[in-house]
Amino acid sequence: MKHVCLVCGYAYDPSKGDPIGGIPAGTPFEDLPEGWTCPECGAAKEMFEPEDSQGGAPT
Amino acid sequence: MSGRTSVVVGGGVAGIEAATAIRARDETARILVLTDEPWPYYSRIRIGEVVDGRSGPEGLFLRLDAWYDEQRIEMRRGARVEGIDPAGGELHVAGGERIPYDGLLLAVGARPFVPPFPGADLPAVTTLRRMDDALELRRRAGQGGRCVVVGGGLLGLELSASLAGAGMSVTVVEAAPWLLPRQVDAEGGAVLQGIMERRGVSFRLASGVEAVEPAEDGAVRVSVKGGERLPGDLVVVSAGVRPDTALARECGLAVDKGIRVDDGLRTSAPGIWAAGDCAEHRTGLYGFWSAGGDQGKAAGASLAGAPVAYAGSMRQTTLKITDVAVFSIGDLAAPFDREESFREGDVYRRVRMDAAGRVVGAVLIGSLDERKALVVSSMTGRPYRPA
Repeated sequence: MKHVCLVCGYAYDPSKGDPIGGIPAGTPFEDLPEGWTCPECGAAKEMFEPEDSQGGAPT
Repeated sequence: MSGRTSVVVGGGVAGIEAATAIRARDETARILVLTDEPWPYYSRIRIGEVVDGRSGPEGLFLRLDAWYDEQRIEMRRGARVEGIDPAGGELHVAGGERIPYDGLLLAVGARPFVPPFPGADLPAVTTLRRMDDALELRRRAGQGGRCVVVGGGLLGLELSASLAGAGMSVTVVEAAPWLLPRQVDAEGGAVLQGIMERRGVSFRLASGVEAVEPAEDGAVRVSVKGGERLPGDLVVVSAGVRPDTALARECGLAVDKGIRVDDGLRTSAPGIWAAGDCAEHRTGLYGFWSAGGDQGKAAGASLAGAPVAYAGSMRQTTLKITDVAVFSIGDLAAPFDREESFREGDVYRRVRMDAAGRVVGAVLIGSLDERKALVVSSMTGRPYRPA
């Protein structure tokens, strides 16, 4: 499931991983290392929420 | 929609999200992104890390080189657009090249605002907006010395911490009687000031720069309200940004504070869209990262022919000064029904809610434990439930 950064809006998509951060495609959000941070704003992993639990972010 | 040429001017978050959104809906379009910066897409909100040396430019890049090829997005760096011919569907690029387009998307961003005080044009007076500015500040901060930061807003404080971290002696000159007047009340401002002072940053509040005068060896003296003259080797102005509307104005697009756009992110001219810090939607100017991304995605989809109804972005800010956390959401000046506040040492919190318990404005300093609960209430309209 996609997870969205509450600070900057970046969406972590497991099907894409985080190539810049060295996270291979297919890595579930839960398996990201604890020190992993949002590539766009540097926020910590606990600042992410599952995409569908936000009641729909404005687009 | 095949064989069209879509041109995006601007290589920041709005421009790249727009190009990505166009590609997602149009397999065959030629997509060209022009940026006048020499760098690929990077995280502008993290350039403070370059100023104090926590990162080099590459550490802020947001896409691998291969991504641009996979997406078939042609990224032209160092390309400055000098004019637009909306009737002819053509861009004029510095050097004489003309680029015809079927769809044009302006994501040209904003420029730092520098108040017109005498001496504003001296070489010691600078701003921080782009990667090259950050590298130049890094170089100058490495020489040590004294820096005067004009403006104690979010970016001014973040920058002050970076410069102090890089070894400079920093004084912030701010017009308001306390720090972050738009995000924080007086008590919150005092908490923040104490934290910053212990990090070596000094403040002149309810003040303002009257003039900057040259001194010996390229140094300056900054005259502030009340007659004090602060010695400085460097003056960084952090007094907000203004949408970059020059190109849009010259080619006759409707411009108010920013380039006017409708809910489909269309400008007043057919075939031209705008997004990000340069754009002004009916919900206002935003000037921050997540809104730039939202608008870029919406504008790109709209350009590619999808129905789009952009209704605004959420207003929230997080200030990251390494170990000082500041978060603000909503509007503390808006009407509210009740509030909750908390202060203990360097931890401060104020939450204002409407009659239904929904967050209308809130600030957190020192601890971000409540951030998720505040964001969820703001986003969903559900009552605020403390974490």
